[in-house]
Amino acid sequence: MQNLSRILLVDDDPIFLTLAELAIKKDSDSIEIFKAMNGEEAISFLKLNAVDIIFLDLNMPVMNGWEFLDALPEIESHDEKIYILTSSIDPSDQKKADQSPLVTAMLEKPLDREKIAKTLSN
Amino acid sequence: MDFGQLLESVTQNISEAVFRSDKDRLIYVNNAFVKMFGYASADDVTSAPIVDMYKDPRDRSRLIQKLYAEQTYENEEVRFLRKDGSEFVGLMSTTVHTDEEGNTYWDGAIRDVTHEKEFIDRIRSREQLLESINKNINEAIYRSENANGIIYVNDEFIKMFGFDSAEEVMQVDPKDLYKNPDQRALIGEEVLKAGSISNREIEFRRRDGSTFWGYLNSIKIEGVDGKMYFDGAVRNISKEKEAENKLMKYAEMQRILIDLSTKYIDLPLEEVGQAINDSLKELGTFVQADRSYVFDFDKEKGITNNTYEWCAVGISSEMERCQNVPLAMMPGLVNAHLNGEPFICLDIDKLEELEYKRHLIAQGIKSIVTMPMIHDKECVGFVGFDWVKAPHPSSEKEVLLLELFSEMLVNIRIRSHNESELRKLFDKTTEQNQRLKDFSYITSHNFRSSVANLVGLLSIIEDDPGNKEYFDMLKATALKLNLAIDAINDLLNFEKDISTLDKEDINLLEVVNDVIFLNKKSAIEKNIQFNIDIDESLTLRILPAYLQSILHNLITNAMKYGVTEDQRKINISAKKESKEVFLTIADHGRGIDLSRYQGKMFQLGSRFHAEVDSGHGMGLYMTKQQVEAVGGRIEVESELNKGTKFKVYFSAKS
Repeated sequence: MQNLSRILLVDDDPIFLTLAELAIKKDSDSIEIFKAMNGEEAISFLKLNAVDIIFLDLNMPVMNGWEFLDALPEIESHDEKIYILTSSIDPSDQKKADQSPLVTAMLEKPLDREKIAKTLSN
Repeated sequence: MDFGQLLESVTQNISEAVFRSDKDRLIYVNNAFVKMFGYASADDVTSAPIVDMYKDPRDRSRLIQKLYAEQTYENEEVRFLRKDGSEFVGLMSTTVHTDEEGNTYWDGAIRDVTHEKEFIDRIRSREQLLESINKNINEAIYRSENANGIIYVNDEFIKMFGFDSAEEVMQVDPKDLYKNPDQRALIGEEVLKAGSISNREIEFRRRDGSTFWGYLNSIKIEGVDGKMYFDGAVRNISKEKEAENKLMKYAEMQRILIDLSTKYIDLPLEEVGQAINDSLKELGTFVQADRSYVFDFDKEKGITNNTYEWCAVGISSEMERCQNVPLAMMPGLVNAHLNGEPFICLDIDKLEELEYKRHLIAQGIKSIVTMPMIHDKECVGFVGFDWVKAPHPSSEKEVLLLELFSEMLVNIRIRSHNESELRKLFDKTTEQNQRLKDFSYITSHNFRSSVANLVGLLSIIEDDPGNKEYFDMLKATALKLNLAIDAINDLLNFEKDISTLDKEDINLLEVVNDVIFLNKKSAIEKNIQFNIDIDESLTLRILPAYLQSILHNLITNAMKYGVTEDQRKINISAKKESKEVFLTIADHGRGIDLSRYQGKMFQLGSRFHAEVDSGHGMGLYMTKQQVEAVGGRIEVESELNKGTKFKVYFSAKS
């Protein structure tokens, strides 16, 4: 758990980003948090940086979550775990997520301590 | 030579009765006489009175008179009586002789011709019978011989084949009596081989060239003279044939009528076109028309169009000529059809409407029959036949067929209309359903993300109640939730109102100014400069709430995303172009990469700018829905860092 230290939050909602950061940091000071407002910002960031976990929103302007997943293989390969984090799980999105080799799991907002603990222990 | 003895021998041996008499009695009779008259001996004869030997004594007196006058007579037929009273017919010849002493004798001979006479009478009676048969029957009877052709015909034959006498018949080549001359040889061979043929249906030819159908019976026969004859009889069956043809025609018509009335009932609509073409061909062929067709009325434009056509072989299509034909050209046809009546003109020369007459003659039409298609008591077009090669004599069954055909076409039209209405309704429902699905997904997402934030924020505030920053976030989230609910209301009202609101005449410039005025505060804050180029007289007939909403969305979008530090201009212009009013709202802001977002531009839930207040992804979706609801369309042009231009086309007030 100690060696998992870098997390990227991708979401266009600044309030969510603040809340998620607070929730994660509450339990572990050693974790480094990075934020991106949409898929495009996330791709730009990942071109230069590596992370261990990505929490990915689906519905975002400019480049949404699915488009991000399509664009990700074009940059250097990474072994980060990707969790889709969405406010409501649509059955068709769930199906798409199950079929994507990049997605570890799909989680529903809000991101609480329980969900964080579970993902970090995996 | 003893002549007396020879004479005696001859007279006694011949089978004729020989006698000599004077005017009172028989002097001499030979043996044949005795036998012929049934007496016992010559003495027995000579002692009997002569007059007893005649059946009618007047015969004797008549013959004696003849002898006195002419001295002789030959082969006089006389009925004699035998001794027993039975009678027979004899031919008697007698000559007067006078000897040297001046005595007068009558010498004669009698031949019994009873049997010969019976035979001749029998033949005569048969001839009479044959003649009577020939005269009275109405079959043509003939005898022909291979070498000499026809050698006998009866009166009916002469009449049936249109000749004046038997001689005339015998002068023609018998094969010319057949419609197909080659047929005679074939029939001859067949009779020769089989011995006879019976009731063969053959088309014969009269002397004047006209033809008729007849039954031929013929038999090969060897005459008493040993020659081969062909005897035959022809019965004229033209009438039967005509009746039979009529019957077949009626049966065929019945079949077509039944076929027509069942064919279209369950026919899939996509097969209707082919079925109509097939029916036109079948009907046209049946009534021997040269064209059959369907015309649709367009009453608004006052024209009619040929929509389906069948042409007989060698007949030109007139479909092209028959487009946009003014109804005013054919008042006779139109008035008849408006009253549900057929239009019949079997002789185009008699048509009084000159322009229409020219139009029909240009198509080579000699006769025309049309029937209206009546839908809901209104004439929606007509179906008809043309005759080009020759005028057509009748219209009764033509009208009957067209009437049924038009009824079927109208039924199809009603069905097709109903089905397309249903289809439209179905499409609309499907579309609405999809929209609601998309909508519920987006709203649920919007709601849930706000609620999730609320939950998260409340738990942080619990830990740190005095934090002003968290409190502001709570407020912003609550406001966002409120906006999302407003957007839902808009959408629900939109779905509901679309069919119930009334259009009004709206001055476009006024509405644009209203919208700008309502957003004045934000415009002043951002120092936005509006350039408006709209003629103040330009009006639209439109639902006012929709026009307002469309303009509000597009103008506030431009104010939000179309303004940069350097570019603060928004151009709004409108002009009328033929049947449309063309409105543009152009900014010079950051623009959108259309190569990336083209398909998503107007989708529910799409957002393109990474701002904090980038909305719910409903604005352009709603705008497009509203534009389309008032019968317009919307297009977008945009280039990154150059700006965005929305173009809206409204149908102009008619």
